[in-house]
Amino acid sequence: MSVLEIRNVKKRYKNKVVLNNISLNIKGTYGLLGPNGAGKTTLMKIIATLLPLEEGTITFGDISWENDQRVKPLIGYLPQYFSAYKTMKVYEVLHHFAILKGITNKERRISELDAVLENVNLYEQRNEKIKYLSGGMIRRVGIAQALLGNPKIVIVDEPTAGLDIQERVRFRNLLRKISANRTIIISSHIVEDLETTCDYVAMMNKGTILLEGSRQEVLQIVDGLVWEKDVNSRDLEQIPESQIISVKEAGDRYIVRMLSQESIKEAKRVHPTLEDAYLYMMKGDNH
Amino acid sequence: MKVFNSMNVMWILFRRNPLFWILLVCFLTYVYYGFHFYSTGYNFSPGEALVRMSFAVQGGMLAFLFFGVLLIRLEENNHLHDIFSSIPKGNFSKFIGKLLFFFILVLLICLFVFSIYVFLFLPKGISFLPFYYDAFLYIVLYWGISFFLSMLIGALLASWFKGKIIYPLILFVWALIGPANSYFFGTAASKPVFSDFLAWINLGEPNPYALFNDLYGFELSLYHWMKRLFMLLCISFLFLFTHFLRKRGNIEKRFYMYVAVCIGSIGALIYYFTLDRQIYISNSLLAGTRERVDETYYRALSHENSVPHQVIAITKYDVHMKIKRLVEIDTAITIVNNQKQPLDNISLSLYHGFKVIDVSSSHKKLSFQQKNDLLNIQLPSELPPKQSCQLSISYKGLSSPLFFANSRAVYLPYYFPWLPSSNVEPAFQYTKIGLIRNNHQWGNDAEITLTYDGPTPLYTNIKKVGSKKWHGRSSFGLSVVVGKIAEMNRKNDGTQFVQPMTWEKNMYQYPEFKERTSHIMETISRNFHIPYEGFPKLVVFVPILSINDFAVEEYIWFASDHLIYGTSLQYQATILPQDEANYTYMLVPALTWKYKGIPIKDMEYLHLFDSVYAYVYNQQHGIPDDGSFLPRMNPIKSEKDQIKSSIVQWIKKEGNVEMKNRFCQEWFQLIESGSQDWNELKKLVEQYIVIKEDL
Ligand SMILES: Nc1ncnc2c1ncn2[C@@H]1O[C@H](COP(=O)(O)OP(=O)(O)OP(=O)(O)O)[C@@H](O)[C@H]1O
Ligand SMILES: [Mg+2]
Repeated sequence: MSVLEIRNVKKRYKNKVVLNNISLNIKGTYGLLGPNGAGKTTLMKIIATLLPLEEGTITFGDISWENDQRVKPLIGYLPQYFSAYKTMKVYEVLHHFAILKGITNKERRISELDAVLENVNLYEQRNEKIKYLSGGMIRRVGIAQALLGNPKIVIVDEPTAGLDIQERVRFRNLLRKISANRTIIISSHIVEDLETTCDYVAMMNKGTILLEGSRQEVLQIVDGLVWEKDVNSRDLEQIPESQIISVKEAGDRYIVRMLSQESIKEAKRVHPTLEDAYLYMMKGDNH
Repeated sequence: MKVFNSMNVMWILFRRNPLFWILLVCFLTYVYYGFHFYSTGYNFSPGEALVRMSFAVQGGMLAFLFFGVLLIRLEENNHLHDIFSSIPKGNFSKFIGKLLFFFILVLLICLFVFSIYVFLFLPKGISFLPFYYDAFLYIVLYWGISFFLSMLIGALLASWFKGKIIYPLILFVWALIGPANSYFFGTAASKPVFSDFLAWINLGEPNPYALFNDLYGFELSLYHWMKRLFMLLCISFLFLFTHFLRKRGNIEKRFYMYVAVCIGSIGALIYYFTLDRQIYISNSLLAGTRERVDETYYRALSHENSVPHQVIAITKYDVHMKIKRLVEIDTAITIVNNQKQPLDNISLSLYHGFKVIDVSSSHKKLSFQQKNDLLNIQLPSELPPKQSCQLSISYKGLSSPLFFANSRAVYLPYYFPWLPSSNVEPAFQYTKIGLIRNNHQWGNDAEITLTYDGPTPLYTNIKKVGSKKWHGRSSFGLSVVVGKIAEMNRKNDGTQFVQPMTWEKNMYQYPEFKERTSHIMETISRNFHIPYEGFPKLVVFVPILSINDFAVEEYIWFASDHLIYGTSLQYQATILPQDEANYTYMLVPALTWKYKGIPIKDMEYLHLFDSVYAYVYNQQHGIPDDGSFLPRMNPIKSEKDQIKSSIVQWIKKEGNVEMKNRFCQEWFQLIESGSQDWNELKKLVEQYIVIKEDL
């Protein structure tokens, strides 16, 4: 399977550099992690040909982004904010997308629509109007449209934002389910979303890539640096803020998760998670 | 398929929106009641019904401006725009699909409006299909295309301006391009340049404040179609340009081709707009309004007027006329010298809008001079008395706005010098009572051949002899009338009665009209010893008044073979005027001194004769006449007023009809002898009034 190669991509709005020399090798299920304003959406829009590629190159196999007419058929895109015509029914909306994507053969269109609806688990709701759907269902309609035409590259921008925890778990499963045989790029600032779905991760902040690699590679960065300690509230105040990753309440005591190069007294070393790596990178970058 | 599906999606969205149905129903209801108002009772007028619907057009334009914003904003509001952009040709298909949707919506609205129109007027006895055809074109041009253009303008603006700023902008544009634009801009609209601009940008009825002209019909001149095409091209160009700015790189070759076609056509149309043409303008805010053009011209002209004395006759006219954008006439005439001295140059009248290009005699070019309505030609050699010579004169240009001649309609009557006439005087003269039309009847018999290329069907006082050829004789002149008129009585009685298609319903009065006219003709013929050649073979009843609607002398023009019965720009439910007495007043001048070709020296004097005799006629024949058409009596200041008042007082008294009639006969003899002198009239009056007091 081809790799989506991004080389030295730059983007600026007026004088503000939003993407600064981005180079990535995107393959498999690929997570793009970064805080608000990092440039995730901008990068994804460039990949989706919504923004012109002004500097740098992007290629996928022998297809170059210089000719966006060849690129567009490869792409399925779910924007950060998605909604559809409120008074139309789910099926009508997807049917419209299918035709625009060039699925002109009627039988093929019907079977593909049914498959996609089954896939995102909206078959029951196919005759509901969009305005009566929940936020999660609408997002699933969004995924369904992105999958139509069986694109090689599916781009989903913050797919889980605003969803409740159950819907989120369902959504992660959906993303995993559709990841076979295609490249999926998922952006998020919620680490857990990517932890369970992505094989590869890139972290970005303020328009630059801090780190790219497989999940294991990324975890290695903080391997041996994550500690957990059981403290009471008085002790908690003593720990420097900069070391803390998270604090969990356990009765009247607290379990503190910390990052540290040296070993910490009365603390035990634990297996790192993606979140640890992310926070580690962000802290390093912000100092 | 992508396009049709996008169109279908638009239809789903619209039909599921209750607001759309509410708007549509309100609109059609308004249109129905609007048309209904003009299809019943006192307000009946098929023409006015469409011309007076500016509010509906204005409302529709507003709705379509909003639809245009919707076209752009719909996807943006639903965050769908990005997705369509990521699909090959996605946005393009959507855009075209939506345009197509609005196109079909506009077309359907036009059909609905037209159906309502037909539904209301067809049962009311308006049966001429060409009129409905024009009504449909009118609805397409001034409703449909205007709606569609509004939609495009709304879309263009919405693609430039984000946010709520679009709404005030759209309202501004709406005020600018609607038929009521000069109303919205109040006093500013009367500034010359701005008022021209407003008239130009107006996408609705071009003459929203004018009465419908049933002879001219709806203003559907090519110019108005071209104007809209021009706007369409400009909008397309701006869309393409916006696209170009947004896309920067990645522009296809085809794109440049479109731009080139756009710019090329825009250039061609700009050139087209600079050319001379005659369109129907009746809008008091505009300098070019048809009521004022000639008034201004002849007011400035009224002082200088020295016409050389000559006695010539033109005995043959061979006329080739083409009416397209301009009137182009090539004519060969035969001139006879009827005076005792030889002639070396001749003067003819020709309306100044026609520019003479070439005058020649047996292939030799002659020198000529055209000044105002006078054409002076230097003959190749002296023309001895009783001898004749042939001249070819070609000219082209625009006719008077009051005697229009364009590809929609033609009104070139015998009394207007659209052919070179030996009856030398300006086409109009400006008098105390305003602009009046001079009479250019020939005064001698002439043979006429006409070949004609222009709008049809053509009604004229000579016989049709070929597909585009007419031939005949007349001693008055040649009248040519084309427009939304038709022959109504199918010549059952040897007379062709021609009037606007929209007035069809008044035909029930035709026998009465004919009878009254014949009766007055017979009486006048006997009284004043004027031989007529029977009832005219052609009667043209048309709305030709718009300047001096109060001068009875302007209504009817009678040439032995045809009669032009003019009336005001209004629906005529009857052929004869409401007030029975009035018709006599119109007919008297036409049958007497105008028929005799007596030139006007003193309009007030002649008018006194007209009204006095008409009153006497009515008195004699028991036609109720309250005297309200007689000259109004001012407090007596001059001798003139005194003469007037004594005549009026005398004839208003009952009885003595025979003597009053005799007075009029003698008075007319005076006029025939060339007198329009108040002193001579006074002497005559004194004879009668003294005699009367003796009795
Ligand atoms: N059209 C624009 N004009 C100017 N600046 C912009 C524009 N779009 C984005 N930016 C800026 O570019 C930067 C990156 O924005 P982007 O939306 O790509 O971030 P993001 O990583 O997707 O953030 P979030 O997690 O909030 O979605 C931000 O600082 C933003 O203000
Ligand atoms: Mg974003």
